[in-house]
Amino acid sequence: MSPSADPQANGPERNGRYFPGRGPAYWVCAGFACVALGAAGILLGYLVAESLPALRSQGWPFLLGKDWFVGENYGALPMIYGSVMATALALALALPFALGGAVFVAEFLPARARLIVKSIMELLAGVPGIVYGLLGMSFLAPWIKDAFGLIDGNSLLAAGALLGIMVLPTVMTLSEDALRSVPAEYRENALSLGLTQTEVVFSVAVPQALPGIAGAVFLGVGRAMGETIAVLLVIGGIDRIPSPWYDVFSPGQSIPSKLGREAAESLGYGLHWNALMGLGLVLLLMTMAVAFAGNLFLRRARP
Amino acid sequence: MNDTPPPIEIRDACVSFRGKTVLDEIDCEFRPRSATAVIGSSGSGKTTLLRTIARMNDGMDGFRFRGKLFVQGSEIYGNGTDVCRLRGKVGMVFQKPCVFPKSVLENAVFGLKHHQPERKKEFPELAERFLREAFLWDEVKDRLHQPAAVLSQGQQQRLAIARALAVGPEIFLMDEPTASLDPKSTQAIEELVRSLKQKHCVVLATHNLGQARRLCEEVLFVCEGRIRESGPASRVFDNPLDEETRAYLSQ
Ligand SMILES: Nc1ncnc2c1ncn2[C@@H]1O[C@H](COP(=O)(O)OP(=O)(O)O)[C@@H](O)[C@H]1O
Ligand SMILES: [Mg+2]
Repeated sequence: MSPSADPQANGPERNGRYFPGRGPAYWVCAGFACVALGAAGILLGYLVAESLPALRSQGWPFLLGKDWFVGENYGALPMIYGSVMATALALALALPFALGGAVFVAEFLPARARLIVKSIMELLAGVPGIVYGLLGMSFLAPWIKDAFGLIDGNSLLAAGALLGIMVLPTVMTLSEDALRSVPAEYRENALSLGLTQTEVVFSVAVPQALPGIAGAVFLGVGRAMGETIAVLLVIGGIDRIPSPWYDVFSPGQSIPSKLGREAAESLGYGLHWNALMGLGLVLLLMTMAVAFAGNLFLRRARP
Repeated sequence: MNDTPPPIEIRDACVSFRGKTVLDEIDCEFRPRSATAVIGSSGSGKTTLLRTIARMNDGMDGFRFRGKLFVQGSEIYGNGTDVCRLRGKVGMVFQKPCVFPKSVLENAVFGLKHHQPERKKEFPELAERFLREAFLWDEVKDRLHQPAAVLSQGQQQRLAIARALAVGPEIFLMDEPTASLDPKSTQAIEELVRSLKQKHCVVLATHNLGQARRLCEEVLFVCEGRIRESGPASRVFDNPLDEETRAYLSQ
């Protein structure tokens, strides 16, 4: 038997290239990887299959339609809009504080104070959504109502602000980790060249931590898009795109909050169920797009 | 006595970290246009001495300095010292080569870019000049736009020196610059030190005694944070006065 015919042999040679031998570790890990990939594939297939009747009966208006009346028509646009808007608001409100805070904690705070801030942030990052939702209901929404003179504080703004507060600890602590993981010798070399501390932070530490910071931000976006209960409690629950479209003081609806409200009552059959599954599919595709954009950005950010 | 102050003058200095004294009773000066070797076993305080001169210990936990340290006549641990300007005058090369994750060219002008951004147009020229001065030009002239990380350790160390040269320092502190390099790169760096000391005041920490003998006019022997002996290299190497120095040199 020639050595190249035996895949178990160490270093089989094919056309002058050598391949490492494949031992038990290879096959065990490959098996687990296949199970994980298969599960994700089955999930996606199930979502597609279940939502197909709704997509077929509605056609494009499923994505573009503005009305959702159970038993008549199912238009997903208000929910897509609500999800995008709440997430965008969350980012706009949270990023300045999260990134500024991460830079401050990582670069300027003495070691002991840093550990205290970090442990508080990590604690907050683990608080369940329902707790944030209750606080949002009892404090944030009424506060927004009074501050802006609204009839009802439950609005896209309340949802966005609450999501911003929710993702802030995660984004901040992960960005801070990324900054801390830039080796000190780079900072020392830059300092020894006569750069100021600010210049060192922004032309050495931040650029090198950028892939990690971007990862933290995309994780935050993913969490904001998928958050259900906290949003459900403060977004207002009305399937409508406000006019003008940027009126964030109006109530709205996000995809998860819609699913959270209606999934139990329509469970299992009928076009309503299929339409809800279609919403789930849209949400899945949106989060996949975010992850994909994140990867693309990271590949470009790397030197 | 002439009028120009020595590049570096240290008077009765004491350095401690969190109450632990690392350097004590340091009293010495360094001459212009010559190289001084700082020798001593590891842990004796060579790195700390060099870092103290460039105020690189400022951010260290519990760092305390007592005494006086003059760079070109002005006291650097006094009030109102512009630390960034000081570091522009005092270049430092570290033991472990460290290049930024940027191209060779960008690394060469990295410090310059922050000190004189208005000369952006001249950067390629200037980069060539300093890479030549660091004896690196011929090896990198065809890959100026490649990441600096692909260079060998010895080339990276010379790139770090070119980067420091570009800022225009008058004093060069080199902390065991060849300790992690192969013989060929070591030779290139030694050649570089010979040319640097024509114009600059070079302080070279090393535990390679042959290197100190080859490159330096003056020697400072540091032991457990104190200067045990100092003087012209030939005198210290051939006729050490101190018991400790004799023991260290003969090992
Ligand atoms: N930041 C610091 N904190 C506490 N001790 C330090 C610090 N830096 C150096 N030392 C101590 O100072 C002594 C001298 O260190 P160093 O200057 O690095 O010696 P060398 O460069 O001669 O090997 C060592 O005992 C070391 O543990
Ligand atoms: Mg050392």
